[in-house]
Amino acid sequence: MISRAVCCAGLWLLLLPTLASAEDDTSLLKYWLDKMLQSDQSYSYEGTFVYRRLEDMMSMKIAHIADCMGGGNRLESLSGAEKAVVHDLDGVTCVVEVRGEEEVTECHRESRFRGTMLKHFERIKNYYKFDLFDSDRIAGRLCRKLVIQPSDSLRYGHRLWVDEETGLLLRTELLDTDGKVLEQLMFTDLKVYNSPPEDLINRVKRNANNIEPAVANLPESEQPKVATTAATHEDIPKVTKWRVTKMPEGFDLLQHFDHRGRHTHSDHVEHMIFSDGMATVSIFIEKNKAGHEPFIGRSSMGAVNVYGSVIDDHQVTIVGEVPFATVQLIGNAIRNTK
Amino acid sequence: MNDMREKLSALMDGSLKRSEAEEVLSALDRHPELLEEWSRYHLIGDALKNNLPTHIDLQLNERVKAELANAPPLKSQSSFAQDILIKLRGYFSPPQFVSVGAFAATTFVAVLVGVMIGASPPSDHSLEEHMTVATQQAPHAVTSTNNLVTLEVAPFTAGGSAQVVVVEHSQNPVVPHMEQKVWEPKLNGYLNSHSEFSTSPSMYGNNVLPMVRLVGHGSSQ
Repeated sequence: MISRAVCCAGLWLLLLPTLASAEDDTSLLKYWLDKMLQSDQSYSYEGTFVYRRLEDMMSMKIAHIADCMGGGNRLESLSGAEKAVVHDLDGVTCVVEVRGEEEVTECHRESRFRGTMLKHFERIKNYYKFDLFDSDRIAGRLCRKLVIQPSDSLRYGHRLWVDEETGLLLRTELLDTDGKVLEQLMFTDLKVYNSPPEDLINRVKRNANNIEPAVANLPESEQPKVATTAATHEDIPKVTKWRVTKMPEGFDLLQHFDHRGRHTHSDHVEHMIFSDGMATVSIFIEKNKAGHEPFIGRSSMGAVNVYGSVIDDHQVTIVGEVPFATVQLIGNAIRNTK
Repeated sequence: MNDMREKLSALMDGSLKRSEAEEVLSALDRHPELLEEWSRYHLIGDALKNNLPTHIDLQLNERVKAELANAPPLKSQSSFAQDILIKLRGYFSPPQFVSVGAFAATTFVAVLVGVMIGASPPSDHSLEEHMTVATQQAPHAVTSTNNLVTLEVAPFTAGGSAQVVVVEHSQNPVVPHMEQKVWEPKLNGYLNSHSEFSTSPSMYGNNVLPMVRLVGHGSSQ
């Protein structure tokens, strides 16, 4: 009996380092994820990166002001059509696009999810496996590589390179179920500031009021057209006639909105947002309008898959950064209960 | 030259007509700066695809050209093989030579078997057949701040509970064939709305990826 107890104690002692190591691994993972998620709040930066989506490749530049310094992003395309996206800390996102002679600005004020990943980390671990790797080098800076593999084939995998000094995400890859890279982003140069220079602040804030300061000084006849859409959304009543009868494990309803004025062919769009903590799927339902051809079938934009169908004279569209099988599964599971 | 650069980019994308492709290829011969641009495009592409060699030799083109210029007339494949064998014999003693040969043959067979296994066709079952479906009651814990309604653990509350679909990773679902349609402008509104509410910002911290998609979407049109 004593020898058995000694043997069990010995085995337990042997297992202890393994258990401690697993605990250390989780702590280390959380440390790097937390550092990554907090990075934009602490650091201002500007840089250039390459974005590749399947066969399309483009370069962009970004300027970011740390949240603690006022916050905001400005992202500009350096190849292809001239386009910029400006986002401020209050949740206003403006898309500035040059169309011929005109510069058109469209702004939306939206809520965004922030920092929910760590909050739901234990649950997310049921659907994804996390691995941390040794240092790598991106844009001349040392990074830690983080690999996130899905537990099933209804979601995508990720490879992330996190800057060791700041926690900024310097390279990211989105992988399909076969491990093929669908979407990549990689910084080629990066300047990080503890205190952002005036020039950087001006660049980020110049579209804050949807009108560029330089343009505002021009005579009225020379000013470009600025079209601002006042999109709104409201919480939808708790009761809806639409029901999703099947959903991949782990996907929960995060938001349910009634959009008004957001879509060109409908005044009223029901929008449900589901997420497993990593991937997001949107369901859009709107009444078909006479003279508008509904979208039926599949389409994709890089990693984002779309599945459209018509149910009871309503256009139902599923959009998500998930495999097509997932959007199709959800699309086919929508029922009108009235 | 700018026009030629655009064509070069189109050639990279494989969207150039044959006649134009020949024009660009001939221009590559005449303009070294265009050749540099071509190499740069490939370098960026290879870097993104993780295809960079461990040791990058930037003078590879020149060295290959020089070697080709000095090379003797082409030999048959068998005489090439004989040359290689003779050279290998020079490097190894007879017993070593036999060991190296056996190792090479074993490696070749192993790689061949690996490739054959990897190339085996997927099973031809539909998505539904692969899925183990289990029904779970929707738990509910709702928090609300301003316009943001967050349901902590709730598969679906708007309209009742949903069946939870569980798929093993090894069971790669085969989606019934459905033709991929070109991206229609009317999908832009959905993409924008989805990007704005995507959880990716929470994942990546700095909001970059959804914004990149918004910019990239218009720029690639």
